[in-house]
Amino acid sequence: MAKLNFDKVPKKDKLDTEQTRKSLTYWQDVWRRLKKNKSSMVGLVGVVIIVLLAVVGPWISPYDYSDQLSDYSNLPPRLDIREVGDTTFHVTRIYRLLELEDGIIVDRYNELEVDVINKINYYAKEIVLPADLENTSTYPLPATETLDANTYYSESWGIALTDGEYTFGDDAILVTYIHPDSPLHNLEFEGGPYDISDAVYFSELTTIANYGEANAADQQFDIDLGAESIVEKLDETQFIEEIRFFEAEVKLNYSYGLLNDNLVPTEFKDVDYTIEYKGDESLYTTDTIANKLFYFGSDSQGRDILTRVLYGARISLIVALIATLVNFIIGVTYGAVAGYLGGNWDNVMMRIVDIINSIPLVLWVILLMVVLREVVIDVTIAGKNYVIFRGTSGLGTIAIALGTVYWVAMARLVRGQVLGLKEQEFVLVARTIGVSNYKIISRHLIPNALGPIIVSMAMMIPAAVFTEAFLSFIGLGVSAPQASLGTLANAALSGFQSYPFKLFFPAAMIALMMLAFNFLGDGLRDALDPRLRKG
Amino acid sequence: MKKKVLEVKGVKTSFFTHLGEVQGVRGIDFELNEGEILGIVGESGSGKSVTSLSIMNLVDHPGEIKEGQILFHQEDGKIIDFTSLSNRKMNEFRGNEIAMIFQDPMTSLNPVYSIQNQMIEVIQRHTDLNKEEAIERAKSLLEQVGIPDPDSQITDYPHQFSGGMRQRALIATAISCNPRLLIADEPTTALDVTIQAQILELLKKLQDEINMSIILITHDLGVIAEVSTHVIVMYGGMIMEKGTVNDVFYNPKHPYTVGLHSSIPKSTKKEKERLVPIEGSPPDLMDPPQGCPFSPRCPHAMQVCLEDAAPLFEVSDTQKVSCWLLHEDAPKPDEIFKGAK
Amino acid sequence: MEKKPLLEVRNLKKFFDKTKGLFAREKKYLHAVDDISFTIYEGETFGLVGESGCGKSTTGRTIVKLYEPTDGQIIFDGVDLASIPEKDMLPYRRKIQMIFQDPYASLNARMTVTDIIAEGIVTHKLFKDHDDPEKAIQERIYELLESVGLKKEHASRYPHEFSGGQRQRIGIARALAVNPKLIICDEPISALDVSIQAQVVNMLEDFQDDFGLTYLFIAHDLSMVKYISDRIGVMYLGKLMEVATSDVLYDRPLHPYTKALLSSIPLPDPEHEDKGKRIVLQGDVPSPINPKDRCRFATRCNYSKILVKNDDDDFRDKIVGKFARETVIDHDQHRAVVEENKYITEEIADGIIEFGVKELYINRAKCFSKEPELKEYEKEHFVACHFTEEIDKGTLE
Repeated sequence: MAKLNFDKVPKKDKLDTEQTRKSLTYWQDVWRRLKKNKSSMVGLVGVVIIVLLAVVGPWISPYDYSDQLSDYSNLPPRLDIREVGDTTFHVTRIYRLLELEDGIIVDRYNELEVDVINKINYYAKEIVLPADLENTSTYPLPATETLDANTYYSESWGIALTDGEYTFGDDAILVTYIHPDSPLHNLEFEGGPYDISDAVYFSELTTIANYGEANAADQQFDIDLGAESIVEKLDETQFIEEIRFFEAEVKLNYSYGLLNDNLVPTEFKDVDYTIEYKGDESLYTTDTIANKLFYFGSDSQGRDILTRVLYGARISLIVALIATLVNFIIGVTYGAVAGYLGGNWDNVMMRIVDIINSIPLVLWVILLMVVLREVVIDVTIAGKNYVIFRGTSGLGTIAIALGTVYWVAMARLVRGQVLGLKEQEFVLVARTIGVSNYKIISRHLIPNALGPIIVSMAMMIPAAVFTEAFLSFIGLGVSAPQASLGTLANAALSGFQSYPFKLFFPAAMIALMMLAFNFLGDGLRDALDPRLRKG
Repeated sequence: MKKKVLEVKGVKTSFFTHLGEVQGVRGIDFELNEGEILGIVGESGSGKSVTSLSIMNLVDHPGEIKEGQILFHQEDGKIIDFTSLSNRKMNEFRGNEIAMIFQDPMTSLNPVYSIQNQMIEVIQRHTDLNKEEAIERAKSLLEQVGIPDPDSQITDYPHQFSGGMRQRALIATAISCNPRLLIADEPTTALDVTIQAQILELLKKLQDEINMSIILITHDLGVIAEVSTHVIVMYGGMIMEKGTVNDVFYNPKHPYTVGLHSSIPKSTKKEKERLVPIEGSPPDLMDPPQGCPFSPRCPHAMQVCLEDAAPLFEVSDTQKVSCWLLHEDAPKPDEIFKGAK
Repeated sequence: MEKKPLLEVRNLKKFFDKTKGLFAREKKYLHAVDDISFTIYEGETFGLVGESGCGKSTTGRTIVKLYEPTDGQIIFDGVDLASIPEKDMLPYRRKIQMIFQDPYASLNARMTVTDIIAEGIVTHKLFKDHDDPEKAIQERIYELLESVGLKKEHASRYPHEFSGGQRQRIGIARALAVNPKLIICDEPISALDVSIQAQVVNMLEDFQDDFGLTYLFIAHDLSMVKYISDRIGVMYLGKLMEVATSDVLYDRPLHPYTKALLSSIPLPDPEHEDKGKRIVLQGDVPSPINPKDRCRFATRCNYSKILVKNDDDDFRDKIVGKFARETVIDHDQHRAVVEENKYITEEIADGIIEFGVKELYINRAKCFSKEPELKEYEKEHFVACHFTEEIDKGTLE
């Protein structure tokens, strides 16, 4: 056994070993807990990214939220392309032809030279007719006819068959939307007058029988449109989408696929067609590539969805932020005062809260919208006029609506906290010292109630985002041209089947924001929850 | 030779928190014989409550009994190591052969069940009595612990009972299966002195009547002196001194025990003597002193105390002290070694 | 030397309205403090003891007007604090400070030690005439910290970095910061470990000597109160039962409650001569809501009952019309013949005799019909009991 040292230790040496423990401050401890919670860290990262995107995104985007490139409307985020020789085309859902280079649209068809687009062959797929149409009689069309433009031109119907001759090949068929009253119904082909109103009357597409009877099965049609740039001309008319000329072998007699997409019965949708360009032909989609012009696609007015989603996120965040801030200022002050004063003050103030709480949110928003519609508040600073509030935009209104309703919950929470805290001894000490009520509330009560307040605010942001989106979605919130996520989702509803991406991105953004803030809020609640804290 | 009830051998219990390992109990040994009342006294953080939880095998996550054996001697001489039992197996002992009462009588009772429900649940779990018999048993137990008119009181809910009554009801529940060992963790801390006196009287009476062993955990030396037969003084998760109650109160040999005695006023003394406090604060169990846990506050600390914890030196057959001062080569300061009764 | 009163509490009452609901027929008042009077002299320590709920803490808090007194006077330095409005209280707030029980709850966790201690100094603008008030305050805080055994470096730390004892020292430093005359110590050591209690008590005593402080020391730990106090008041259910110097109170307690309380203290002395002679009080403290006009302690008092044995013929006469002390139960029929504290009617008396009750405790009428006043029995020894003299002389039957 080693020699034991029984020398007495001087007092100074040993007491130094028991210093006060260096431990984490409250907020350090909260941060540590938060870091330990994986989902809340994911939420936090998500929130930071979303906020950054919302702030910086619209600013660095080449588009403004209201920029319209109407020629590029409804482009999806991924483009089906066909490679014709060296050139890549994308055919839009409404059969516009876009020339692409590395995913960027370099040209569109109506700016092309006429001879570039001289041949677009559409092949109608084999289409099974509805049973009752199968044995209908055929309607033979005669050989190539010449259409005399002058004869059949009618400006009032918007069909731009202005000049030149239009030669219909053998068994050609003109598939078009022609108004029932149009003189084209009396279009006469050589070899006899044919009433094409029966044959190609697609206006309503309510009765398949109409054109079913009139068209011939298993016949090949050829329409030679001649040398004129018909398409371009047609483009100038408002009926462009309804008129299609084609020169093609039409394997079958029904070519609905060429019509405005919305009017085509779904079973006829998959229409294959060939693009002929400079001698090369492409029948099938060869690839899909990312749309580098509009990463998230474009909407019906050719606006960039990415920009609008980011802008919408910004609007949603602004609304949420204002609502939360109003809520913090009013709710915390009100709750703290009610709780601290207690007694009858508390009773009266809390009954007011109850009354406010009983107003339905939607009703309140509608009311505010109506009342504030005409209100414009502006200030002039250094000769410049800044509009602070504009009732028509809906943004301020919705923020006010949410702010004025949500603080009620906060006031209740803070009141409860304060009721508990004001009996705590440190508050009693402050009172015995003679500290003023204002200081007791601001220095003692609120800082100690901050944990639950922060949790409540963190949970309120996603709720406000969602409520704003909901109100905008049902048309009560932010109005065009400003885009909130709710308005975007609303706008995407029409044509949802054809353009699901228009709904997907704003919806995904709402979902991501909700998730991120909720994860963070949950994490904060766990981190700040006093029940889990000891000592 | 008295029959042993419990042997605790080298038990170490730790809690693994985010900041590191908190060593609640750092190797304790003691034994308890039938009919003894063992008082465990210590300040907050001394490990006395962790000791009781360890004996009951109730150390929950993030805590863990790292080492040691807790040997329970059954009536028929069988010895069972509690640390090796599964929770389910352990439940056969809890409430049956070994029972526990806690500090706060309010939170120990479920407020939504009547006293009767809570008592017969325990009784029926460990016996074959049917409901009526169990209720009769419960009533006689309540009478035994001094609750007046148990016939009408038994259907009351906990909130209808006062603090002292609740503690009595809890004691009645605890002794319902005639346990060999009752662990009372600060049973009177939440009660007023006059009620505390009632409960202490009751514990003594019960110990007499049903000859069970009691481990009484408290911070109050007065309570220990009042009821215990044997005492363990704990500090920093270790046993500083153990012995009979007279050893520890009249012949304390550990500087900590001596310090405790001198820091409470002697109400028997007429003239006012200045209290002698123990300097400093209790150790941080996260990072306990390397040697003796008391060494940083000890007025007699020696170099060896800072390096190694002292073994248990035997002072007499009954008294053992963990202090280097009792080493034969160590100096013998007067404060401790003079004038033992 | 003539003792100068610093604080005189006269007929102080503090009731809390516990009426539930708007349409309650009867107002329910919790008589937390019910007509108590005592005087604290300059430089002394006045101890106030009692069990939980006896009103000792409420008394302390009412004196500093944390609670608005229901009635009575609080005369501090010749001024009745009870009658002056809150806005004029500020100068007196500096002179009366309070130290609380819970060292964890009494410090604001979001403030540094400096901010905590400086709060009073800033509120009362103590250094406003100083050249550099901020520096002066900082110096003062360092000085205070060192005087309570902490270090300068601790000034910028937060409360949670300290142990319970150290926190209580910070609380004391805060109270001292404004140079008070009276410090109300509300259970200042109850939450501390035994080895730390002595540190704090010694410190309080040193400060009393150094600064001539006066303490109102509120605690339930009688041995510590006896140690630190010059005079002690014993409270029970909102009433003062006995007031005396601490030695007298411990050596010769006269009130039955004080006797019981003292004998209930567990002594850290296993073979003390008094061991086994303990007076164990039966039952619990009755409700303080709308108390009846009788001695508050009567229900638990060992002196408030008379044993009547059923061997005389006049047994019946002796018990009729009296209060029954205990519940008398007929065990065969499981029927209570008399309920506790109910009048014994002739029929009940017949029943009692018929059931063969051998002896019966009945209550002393005086104890149960009239509240005793706190009267000076001897010099500086006040007792609130109808039978002080009899108890003292041992002549009570």
